[in-house]
Formats: sequence, C-alpha cells, structure tokens
Amino acid sequence: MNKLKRVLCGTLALAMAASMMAACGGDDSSSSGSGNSGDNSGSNGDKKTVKVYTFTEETQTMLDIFKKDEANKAIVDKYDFDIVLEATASNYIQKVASALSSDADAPDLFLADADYAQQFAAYENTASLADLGITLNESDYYTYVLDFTSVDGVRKGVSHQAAAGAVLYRRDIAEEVLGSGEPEEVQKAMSDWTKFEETAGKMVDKGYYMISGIDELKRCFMNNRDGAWVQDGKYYCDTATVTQYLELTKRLADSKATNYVDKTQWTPNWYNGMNGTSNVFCYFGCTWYLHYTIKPNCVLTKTGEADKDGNPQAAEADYVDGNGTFGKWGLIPGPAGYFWGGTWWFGSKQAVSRGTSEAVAAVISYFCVNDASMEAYMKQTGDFPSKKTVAAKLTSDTNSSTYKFLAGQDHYVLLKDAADKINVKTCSQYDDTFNTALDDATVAFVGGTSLEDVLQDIEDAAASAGFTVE
Amino acid sequence: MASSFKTRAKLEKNYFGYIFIAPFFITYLIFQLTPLINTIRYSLTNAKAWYMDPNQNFDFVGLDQFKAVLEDKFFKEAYYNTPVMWIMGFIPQILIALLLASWFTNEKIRVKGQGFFKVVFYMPNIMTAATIGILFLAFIRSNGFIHNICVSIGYVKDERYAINSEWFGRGIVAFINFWMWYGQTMIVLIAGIMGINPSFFEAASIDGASGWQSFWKITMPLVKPILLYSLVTSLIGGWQMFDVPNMFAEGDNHAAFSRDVTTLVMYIKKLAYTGQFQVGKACAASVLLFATTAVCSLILFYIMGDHSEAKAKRLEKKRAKQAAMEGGDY
Repeated sequence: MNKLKRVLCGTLALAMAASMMAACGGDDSSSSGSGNSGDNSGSNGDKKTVKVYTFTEETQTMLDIFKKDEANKAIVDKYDFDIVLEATASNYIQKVASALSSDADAPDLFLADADYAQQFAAYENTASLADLGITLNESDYYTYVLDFTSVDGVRKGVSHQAAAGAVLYRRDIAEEVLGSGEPEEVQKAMSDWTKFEETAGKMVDKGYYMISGIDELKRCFMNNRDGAWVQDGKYYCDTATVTQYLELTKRLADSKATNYVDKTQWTPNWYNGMNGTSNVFCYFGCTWYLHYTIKPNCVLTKTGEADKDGNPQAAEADYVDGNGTFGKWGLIPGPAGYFWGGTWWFGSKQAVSRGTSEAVAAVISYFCVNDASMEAYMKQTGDFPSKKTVAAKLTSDTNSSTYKFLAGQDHYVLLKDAADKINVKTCSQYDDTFNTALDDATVAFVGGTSLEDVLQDIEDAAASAGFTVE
Repeated sequence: MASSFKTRAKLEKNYFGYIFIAPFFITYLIFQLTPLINTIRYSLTNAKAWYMDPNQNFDFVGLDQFKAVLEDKFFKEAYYNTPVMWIMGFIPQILIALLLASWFTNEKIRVKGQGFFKVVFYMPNIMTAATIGILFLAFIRSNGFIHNICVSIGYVKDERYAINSEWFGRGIVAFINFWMWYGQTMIVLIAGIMGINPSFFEAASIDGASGWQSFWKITMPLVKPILLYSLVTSLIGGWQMFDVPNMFAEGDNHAAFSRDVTTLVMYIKKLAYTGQFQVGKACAASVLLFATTAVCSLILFYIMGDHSEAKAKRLEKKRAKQAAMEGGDY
C-alpha cells in the first residue's frame, strides 16, 4: 500500500512537472511542427495548402464563389484554401505581423481593412503585385485604390471595392424644410460647408437635427487636409482644416443642430436617428455603409435571425416602405469628397518561395482584376468596384432593396464620380492614434476648452506616441 | 534497522517535496522573472515592437526613456489619476467592509440570514470588470438612467449633452471598484475577526465595555495584520488598475471623460500598442510603476508593521549603553 502511494505520488509529481515543461516548450515545438508542414505543404494528397488570414466573414463567401466558378477548376484542383479568421483589429494585426516574420507560419494570402492596410503594405515580407505575377492596367482603377498601399512606388496590394463617401439624407425632411427632396436640389443646399451650416440652421428652426453627434463630420474633414498626420516620422497638423472642423462642430453643437453633444457613431443613439426615433436629417456614409449600416438599421420591425449578441437583424422582407424610414432616403455627394474603409488583398513573399503564388494571384485577379468576375460579384452584393471600367458598366438593379431604400435612386451613378475624387495623401499608417486624439480634442473643445489647448493636446499626444514634434 | 528505515523515509519526503514545488519555480522563472528582467533591460533601449522593426535594431540609450516618460504630460496625468481613483474607492470600501464584518461577527446582534447577505455582497466580485464597465457605460450614455437623473437634477445642461466631468468619471470608476471589492474585503475581515479569541470580548463585556469600546480596543488592534494585508493587496491592485477604467476609454465611442480616468497601465498599453509602438518607453514607464508600488508597500509595512521587536532591541541597546556609561563613570 505504502509503495503504491509512493508510486502514485511520484507519478503525479512527474506528470505535473512534465505538463509544465510541455507548456513552456509549446512555442518552440509548435513552430517547428508547422515549419515542416510549411515546407511540404503539398502533403495533403497532391494538393498544396494556401493559408488565408482575414478579418471578415466575407472572405469565406468570396472564396466559395471563386471555387464554384468552372474557370478556376485548374487552381481549385491543385490547392486547398485554409482560412483563419480574427475579427478584432488589434489581435488580427499582431497575428499577421508575427506570422509574416516567420517563414513557416506566414499566410500566403491576407486581407486588410483600410485602418491598417498601409501598415501591412509596409511590412518587408509583403510581396509586390509584380512578384505575385499579377498584371493590371493601372489607369482602369480609381487612383486611390492602388496609391493607398504603394510603398516607394511599388504596388503591393489591391482592393476589389472603392469606398467612396457620400451623404445620405431624409427626403421627407428635405421636402418640408428645403422645399424639395430631390438629390439635385438638396446637393445645392449642401454643396460646401457654409451652405451646410445654413441648412443646419433651417433644420433647427423646424425642429430637426442636422447630424447625429459631434464625430459625424470627422472623416470627411480629415480626408481633405493638405497632408497626413505623420510625414517621415514627423508630426504634421493642417491647423487650418482641423480648426475649421472643430469650430464648425462646436457651432453645430451649440446651435442644437446635433442630436447629441457626444460621440454617437455605432451607439444606439446613432441608430435611433436612422430609424426615425429621433429626427436626424443626414448621415455621412459610404459605399459599404449603404447596405451594411444604414439600410439594416433604418427599419423598426426586424424579423430576421438574431446576431450572436442576440439583437434581431433585418430580413429582406422587412425592407418595405413605412417600416421605420425605409424608402425615405436620398444620396448626394455632400460638401466634400472622402472615403471610409475598404478591404485590401495582399500576398506574402513566402507564398512566392513556397510556390503557392499562382493560387494567390488567381484569387486576387478573380475579384480585383478581371472585369467579368468583378462585375458579377458586385451585381450579387451591390458593392462598389475598385475599377472605373467595371463601375461604368454597373447600374442599380431596380428590384433590389437598396434601390428601393433610396426611393429609386441609382447609387452607382453618383458614387462613380465620388470615387474619383478620393485623396489618400492625407492617410498615414498611424491614423488610429490621431483619430483618438482628435475625438478627445473635439469633446474638450465643444465642452469649452480653448482652441490653443486642444491643438496642444493633439501635439502632445503625437509626442507621447513617439513622433518628432517641431 | 529501525534507524535506517527512518533516514530513508526522511530522504524520500524531501525529494518529493522539491518536485512538488518545482512547477511553481519553473513557471515563475520563465513567465515572471524573465519578463521582469527583460522589462528592465528594454527600459534602457529605444526598442519598438518587432512588427514595426522586424530586425530589432535598437540601441541602449541609458536613462533617456525614463526622462521621456517623466516629461510626458499624459504620464503625469495617469500618475495622478491612478492613486486618486484608488483612494476614492478604497476608503468607503474598507469602512463598509469593517462595519459589516463587525456586525456579522457580533454575538450580541446575531444577524439573521448571514449566508445570504454574504453571497449578495460578494456577488459583484464574480462578474467580470468588462461586463460591469459596459453596463455603467450604458447607464451614463445619453438616455441611460444615470444620465437621465443628471439631467433632471440639472447636473447636465440638457439631454443632448454627455456627462463630461472629470470628477464624475473618477467617481464612477471609484464606485465600481468599491462596489466590486467591499464584499471580498468583508469576507477577509470576518475571517480575521473570527480568529480573535472570543473570551476577550466576553471578558470585556463583563467588565462593562460598550460595543464601541471593544471594537476599538480589541477588534481593531487584533485585525491589524489582516487590515494591512487588505491594504497592501488593494494598493498594488490600485496602482495596476486597468480593466474598469479601460472600458470607459476604449473603442469607437469612449466616454467623454476618458482622459480623466486614464491609469498608468492604460498609458503603458497605449505606448506599446499604438503610434510608434514604443516598447522601450513602455518598459521605462512599467519600471517606474513597479518602483512606485514597491516603495508604497514598504512604507505601509513600516507604518502598520509590528515594531515591538525593534523597540525592544532599541531599549536593550539603550540599557547596554547606559550600563557602559555607568561603567565609564566608575
């Protein structure tokens, strides 16, 4: 008995120690393990594995479309696609960054949101389009799409969509306050910031709010500065534009033209303006925002399946006039052009050395280069293409809910021009830091802090984040 | 025969003991001590996160990073916010916990349904800080119930305005910390008070001591070590405060007062994960935080600690000195 106890005791202790050691050694063993799989990634039958890293569920849908197309049979027979999804931006960035630095773990194909696409493009192991064997006619594209992810003139990534910004407004309110709900007339009343403010005054007189919160105009103004926040590691502030933005926002807030004197984007208060619970006249949205954000949130009765948080979603059958504000919206270019978000596709240098670049190039070309397949995808989703040549061919399907949502307005017509005006000279890979600083500055300025102090705060935030301030 | 058996048994016991404690030391060595030493090493460099600088070409820059941190306005703000919010939460926390603990252990009162109350008071501690943070964020947002109260009593101009007051923000964070932790402190103090020999209380009451007197003369001196334990753990936790205030400061729609509730750990995180990803500067700030926590704990130990031994030593020295002087006189 005693012996048994001793043996049991010893085994337990060893097991504990061993499990400890195993856990500690985890990093090494796993990386060397996948190192093997990376080297002979063709071990799965005759097929090679293409590792795909993404932040959006849309990628799975897109790859399914790619696989279904008979034209891609040669690639599909030769390669398997292994998708890794990580939706949280900060986690995704770290995941891609760490994987890219290792030959074994690096993804072959990876996607990026506009917020960090420039950062990904800057990574050493991100392959250029030429390395991957992708040839494209640059003049076919909206210039910003390729410029955005170019590093020292080398084209590194490409997007299938252009996320041109526009202004969405309530036709019924426009008719009551401005006399006409038609886009041409409303655009005349909002063609620059002076007129925008005048219109805001009229809205207040009739008891409506011009915009939802004090962060609504941010993207539009920031895309129209004369330079990025950071240039060659040095902080740069287009003081004139930033001041104009802050002062306009404060005047709107003080004159009761904003529904809330608070940041409202992505909060319930923001959505309440969309569905008519509170009367907000306009929203600054873009191509994807149209289907993804405002249309599903403009209806009050939602009968669709609940999302993972338990909130009911709008079903196609809910898109009928009279449900919330559905069918009461119009789309205009607004006071200034801008863009918001977008998805960029990249291949890694490891894909080239592993010999999977053929598949990577095929997928990217299918969605981002070939006119026919790009057009088919855009028609299916209502998204807006990155190529002018494709955009020229597209018109809105008159049976689609988007068409009805805009009361019979073809959004492609308008966005075609808007996408051409996008300027990415104002973007840097550090914009995240400055968006936060600017939000804080807006809150402080609207709350009564002096302009000098809030501009100083932005500058101090830049210094704190490690940029040279002169 | 008998003696040889004894030695063998003793040897084996020792042997197994080391194996059992080995996992802790190995884990500590790899996951705590190594990062700790590395933090100090990196604090002397201008290192950046390795995805900004894949080849890790950094230089040793001496104490430059410490200088940069100390000159940083946001560090100073965080260094002020953190202890202020801790103190605002800890004072009510320890007072309420002491009060409840002495009630629950008082033989004269005999509170009914003690188990129920203990569970209820402890409950907030079980929820994650993130959950509570999101809950309160919804309360204070326009149309939230705290916001509505603020509007109706005139604290906020009208319902369009966000609550944008630094002391309100710090108060909310302090309140959440108080509410989450007073139950835990209460349980610890109850255990401490239960450990006091009941005959002390009995004797005191026979001698005619009031409840108030026996609390101050018996309970307080005897739970002092437990109080010190609560104070030190809470102090360390306080300097490292992160999860609750971070809920008010992160994301697309952080609270208007986010800057006034920024703590040191939030500041460190911001340095390491945004902007230029300044790992070196973040490490320097971490070392300063470590030093602050260590100094505060040592001071507390000194103030609250048991000095009777030292006193006795001093007394003995004095006596010895006196004796020597007397001897000299002779």
